[in-house]
Amino acid sequence: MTGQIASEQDYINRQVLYRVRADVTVSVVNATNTQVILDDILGNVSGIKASTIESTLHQNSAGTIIRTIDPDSWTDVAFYEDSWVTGISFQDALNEFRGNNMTIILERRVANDLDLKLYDEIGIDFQSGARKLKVVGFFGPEPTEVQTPFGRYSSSIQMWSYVPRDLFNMSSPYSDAFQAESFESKIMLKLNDDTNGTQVAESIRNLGLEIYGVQSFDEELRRTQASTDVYTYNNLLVLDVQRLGLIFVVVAASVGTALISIVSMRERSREATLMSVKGLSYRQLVWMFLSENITVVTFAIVLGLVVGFIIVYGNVASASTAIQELVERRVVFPTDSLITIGSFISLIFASAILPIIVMSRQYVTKLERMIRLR
Amino acid sequence: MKGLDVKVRDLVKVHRTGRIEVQALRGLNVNIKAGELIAIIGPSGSGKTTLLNIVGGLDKATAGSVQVGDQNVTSMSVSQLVDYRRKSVGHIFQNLNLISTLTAEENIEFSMVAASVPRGQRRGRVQELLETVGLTDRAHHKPEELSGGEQQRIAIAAALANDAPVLLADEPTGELDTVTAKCVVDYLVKINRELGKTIIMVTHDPRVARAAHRILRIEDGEIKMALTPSEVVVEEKASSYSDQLKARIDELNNQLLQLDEDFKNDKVNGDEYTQQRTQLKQTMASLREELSRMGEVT
Repeated sequence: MTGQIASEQDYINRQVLYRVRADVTVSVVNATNTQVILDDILGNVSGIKASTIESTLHQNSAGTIIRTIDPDSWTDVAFYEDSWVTGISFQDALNEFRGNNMTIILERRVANDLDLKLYDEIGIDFQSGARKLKVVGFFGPEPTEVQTPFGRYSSSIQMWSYVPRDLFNMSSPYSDAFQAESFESKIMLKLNDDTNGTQVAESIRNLGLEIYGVQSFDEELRRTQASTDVYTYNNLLVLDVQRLGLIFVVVAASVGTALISIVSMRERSREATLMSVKGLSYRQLVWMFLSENITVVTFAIVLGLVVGFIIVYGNVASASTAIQELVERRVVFPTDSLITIGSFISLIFASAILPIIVMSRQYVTKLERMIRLR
Repeated sequence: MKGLDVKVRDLVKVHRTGRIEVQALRGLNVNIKAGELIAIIGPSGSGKTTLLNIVGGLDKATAGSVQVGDQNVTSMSVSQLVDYRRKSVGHIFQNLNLISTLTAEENIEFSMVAASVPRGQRRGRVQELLETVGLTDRAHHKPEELSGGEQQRIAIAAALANDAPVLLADEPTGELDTVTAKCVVDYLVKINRELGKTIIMVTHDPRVARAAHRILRIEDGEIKMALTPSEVVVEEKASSYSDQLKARIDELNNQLLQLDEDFKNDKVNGDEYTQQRTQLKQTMASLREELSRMGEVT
């Protein structure tokens, strides 16, 4: 259940990151001024570790949204996952960008429609002229076959393609190529680990720049957690219920283990007494019971962990196949959930061990009484 | 190892249950020579078992001293007592003797495991002891598969496992019929003679007591009388065996009434009450069986 909660929390965080695209994202009104605005931000706001500019172009003959990125700075700032690119690794595709401007990471849906393979060429007409680009990767999930009462059809969602920023000479905003196209630009910022995204976003808003808006991961996550939309609300509610359930399960497991341990020790009081009479020391007695009980408890815990992992993996897999999206659910065990699992395991072990230690001491020190009772 | 002297000086034991104090031993003195077989007789509650438990390192004395060889048992720490129980004394009880989950040979081997005796040495010793008590063919049987007499013989072998110089037997024939009881006593005598062990045996049965070199009678926590076996014969003649059995049954009845009273007054909890009552009932049933074998109706 800890894995389930961690996986669900991870999914929510990545969904938010996917929407915001970076720690902080600034939507610029006039793409030509993007660099100037970025310089203003860097000059006036502290806590920024790295920045990049991503521009979006809608008008082209390929029917795909094209985003221009700087392969060197974009990877340091933008949120992406390696699995989003297929046919080649994301890093290798970006390396291709660095070596050749006439390249494209093509949207998977378009590549499938045009039956394009890796390193094939695609001709695209832009406002600034036609270009022949080499396909160095495919972006987005594979389309899925959907069965409906009217037959099977291929379902895919609208994604986008990436091209290197230098394809349009974007470093010169007054160049012919840049001016001919209609870009929408975003400034993406990576913050220092100890920097508050909300404060940075607020500072940028207060600069009075020519921008549409500022989004930060911190604000968006908080908004999501307070969200009243049914889907998000239900997800968060399930998380809360699972957390409550987890506490209940752990308390029940610990109490149950302790009770079983106590009953088992009481049932074996005759045996323990006799063993003490025959010269078994307190340490030997505790060690004997521990080696027997802990084997069983360890086996139960290992079994629980394995079954739990299978359940989490199954839940995540079934949830991922049901919805086709870029950010998929995944099984994660972050440090805090590992600490939680470790604490719960320790608690259960303690529940098994403590009665053994206490009751063995009782058997050894009250030997005469035990003998009398038998 | 040959037997050791046992010297008990001014031994006092007070049992405390809540506010109630019962003085089980009142300055008891006794000297037992190395290699002697001693029987202790006396009415129920006279302090026989308490004396045995203190000598055996199972209970602490309130005052006085117990010297076994050159070891002062009464001043030993808990860990010293563990060592003492391992090496110096072997215990044989009326019914708490064998671990039910272990076989006969494992039961004998157990105290050697506790004393960290090497495996090879243990195996040899177990065979030797099984031969001594004549149960080599029952080595792999669990206690429940053995008769009462066989169980007691295995218990004797287990008590001898670490070559303890002193054997303490608390009613070793208490739940056995006369024939089996005689067989068990014969083994104790044999061990005393052949191995020279000091044996202290608590019993209600004068015929069992007669096997000892000396018989000590305890009453109210003190040794009242030291008898020779022939003197017990005179006593026995005075009261027949069936009379003694009847007296013992009456005594057990009194113990049952006392137990019921203790339970009503919350001096014992439910578990203890059930266990003790069942045990007393079983002992009474076996005594009644013995009487009916003798043609007596109770």
